[in-house]
Amino acid sequence: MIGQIIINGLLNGCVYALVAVGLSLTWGVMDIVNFAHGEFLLWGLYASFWIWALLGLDPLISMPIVIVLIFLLGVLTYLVVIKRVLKVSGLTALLATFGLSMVLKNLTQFFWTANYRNVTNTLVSNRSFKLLGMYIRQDYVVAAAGALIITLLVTLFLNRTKTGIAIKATSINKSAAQLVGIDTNRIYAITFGLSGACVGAAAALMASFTPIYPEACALYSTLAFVIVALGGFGNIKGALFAGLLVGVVEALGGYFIGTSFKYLVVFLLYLVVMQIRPRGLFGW
Amino acid sequence: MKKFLVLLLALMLVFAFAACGNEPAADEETAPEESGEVSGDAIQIGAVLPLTGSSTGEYLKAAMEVAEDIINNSHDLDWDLAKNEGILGGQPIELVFADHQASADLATTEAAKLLDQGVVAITGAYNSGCSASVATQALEYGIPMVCGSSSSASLTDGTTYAFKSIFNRVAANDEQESQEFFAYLQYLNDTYDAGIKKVAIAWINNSYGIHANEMFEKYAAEYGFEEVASVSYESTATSFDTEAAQIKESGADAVFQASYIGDLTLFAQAYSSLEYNPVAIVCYCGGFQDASFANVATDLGVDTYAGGQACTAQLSDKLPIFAYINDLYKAKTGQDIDGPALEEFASVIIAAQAIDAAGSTDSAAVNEALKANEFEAPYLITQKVHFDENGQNDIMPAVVTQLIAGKYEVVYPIDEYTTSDPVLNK
Repeated sequence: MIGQIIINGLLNGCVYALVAVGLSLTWGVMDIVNFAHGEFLLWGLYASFWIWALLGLDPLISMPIVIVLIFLLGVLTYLVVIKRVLKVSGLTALLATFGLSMVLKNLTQFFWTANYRNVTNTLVSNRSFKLLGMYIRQDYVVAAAGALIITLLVTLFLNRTKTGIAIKATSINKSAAQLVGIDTNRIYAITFGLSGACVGAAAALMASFTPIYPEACALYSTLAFVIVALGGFGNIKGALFAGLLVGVVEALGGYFIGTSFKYLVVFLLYLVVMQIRPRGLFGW
Repeated sequence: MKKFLVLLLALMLVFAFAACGNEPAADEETAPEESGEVSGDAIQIGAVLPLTGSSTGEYLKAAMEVAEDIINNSHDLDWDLAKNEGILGGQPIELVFADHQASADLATTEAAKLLDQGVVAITGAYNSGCSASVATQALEYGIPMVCGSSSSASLTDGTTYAFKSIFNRVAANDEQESQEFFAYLQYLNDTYDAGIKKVAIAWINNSYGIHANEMFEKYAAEYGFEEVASVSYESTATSFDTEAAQIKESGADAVFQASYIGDLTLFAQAYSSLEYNPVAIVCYCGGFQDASFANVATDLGVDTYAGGQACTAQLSDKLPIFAYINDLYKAKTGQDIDGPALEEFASVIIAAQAIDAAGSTDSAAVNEALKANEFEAPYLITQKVHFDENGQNDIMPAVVTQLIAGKYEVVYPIDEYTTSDPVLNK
């Protein structure tokens, strides 16, 4: 039984990490808190749903379209909301994204109402396969594989490409980056777009097992903030490990202490780690 | 030029998403009703619902609007209320909606606003905690409340709250449902040799779930079943794999769910992934009755989910007035009317019937009429509604339905309205 609980936790943790990777780009790398991150995920889920409902395309097939859509949403967020407030205090950008979050959530409600929607009959079902006596959910395995691939791709992008290195340079010292000819404006826009693309991929992978409604992503969003902080700001791999940790702690906490308190254990862990290692478990 | 392009792109993206919003539930809404303004000589009835947030308030609102249509306009039905236009000799009613967003605090504020505006009766509020808030306010004004679908037994136990003089609830409460569910399990054992001995419950940690769990424990003991697990959870959780694993580990033969649609969906997925197939899964009102759950159960290929319903589309042939109402509702929402929506429909109808029976909009007379009369309800299996001194509809207003091949079939009690034999995992 404990093995099953831990496996459930690890797989759930991968899903959390999947959502957190995008946030770690804007918050962890660029130091801009995007409170609308959860709504990006929500719009990704709705995009997956409507493409499935109207065109009959499975979320896994339509993933590239959703990635492009949410990439554009990320770029637009930067150009329309963030760009103008970057020059003033950091709190202003934070509040601006909070406002955006409210706008997106209310637009969701306005366009698509509060009704629950489900993507059904998908390529990857909710069924499981058995491994060492444990049930492993196929949809979670695909999401976990997606989390690993996205983490790997983002890490490679940041470390091996000119644009990636420019993103890191801009995050370390914006003025110095400008002095060496980096168009920081473009870099910010790309980072927000990439963050959106990661969330778009996460949404496509999650659409087969997540009920879709305006409040669907509230807790995912909160957990993503916890995971980025736990993993260490700017550490994409740290976010993956922190996601796994949160998943396992939530599952074991729920099993041993009580399912009503499983998130209490997660947030207690977060508070303790922040006291001992304010830069996170894997932060530099 | 760049700024223009950026704005153009933003608008294109927003409208590209919006174009997908062919939501049939989004019926035309009138601004005065939304803003809480009322007009003319219409008799104003308040309706406090969770119109935004995570609940399904839009469907409930649509059902109430069908009731308003039935009352105000002449319909060719064998039912006087529907044949006539208006009540009290032809006066129309006007529903004034308010949104509590599933918050008990907001429900108090919104109810107070409606009561200050002079509504003569109030309906709603779906979530049990919110219904208690609305009723508490209504008591201060002495205004009658007809509650549609809230199920917490505490609302009508006569002791928890002080509002029994003005409160009336159409839906079965969780005590009535628990009693019926355990009688159903007993029937399965007696008739189908189902072998159900151990029972477990998963319940949402709010007013609805807490009371459902209490009633579950009471009637499990009374009917001689062994309770092997009681698992509570928060509705905001992202998955219920741990909870489902605990219930599976308990070895329960039958599982009760006190859940809403989102959590019930995640539970169903988790049970399925663990290949956990109890003999029966019995659901309190809420999530099970949401039509979207039928798609989930069909997708998972399970026919074991059962639960209480005031009526079901499968009974359209036997209940022509229900069928007519269902058609009107379907034209607005694109789906069959479900249990909670029918109960909210009934709440408006009964409020109007009580005003008519009282002969005026005087609140004391309407309160008296609500407790003194038996109300004609040809859209329900029971055909009538009657409230006891605590405000509970004491003519058992629900049957046990089971989702079989995506349709809500009546499986218990066994009478002329039964539409199918139960399906069991044995």
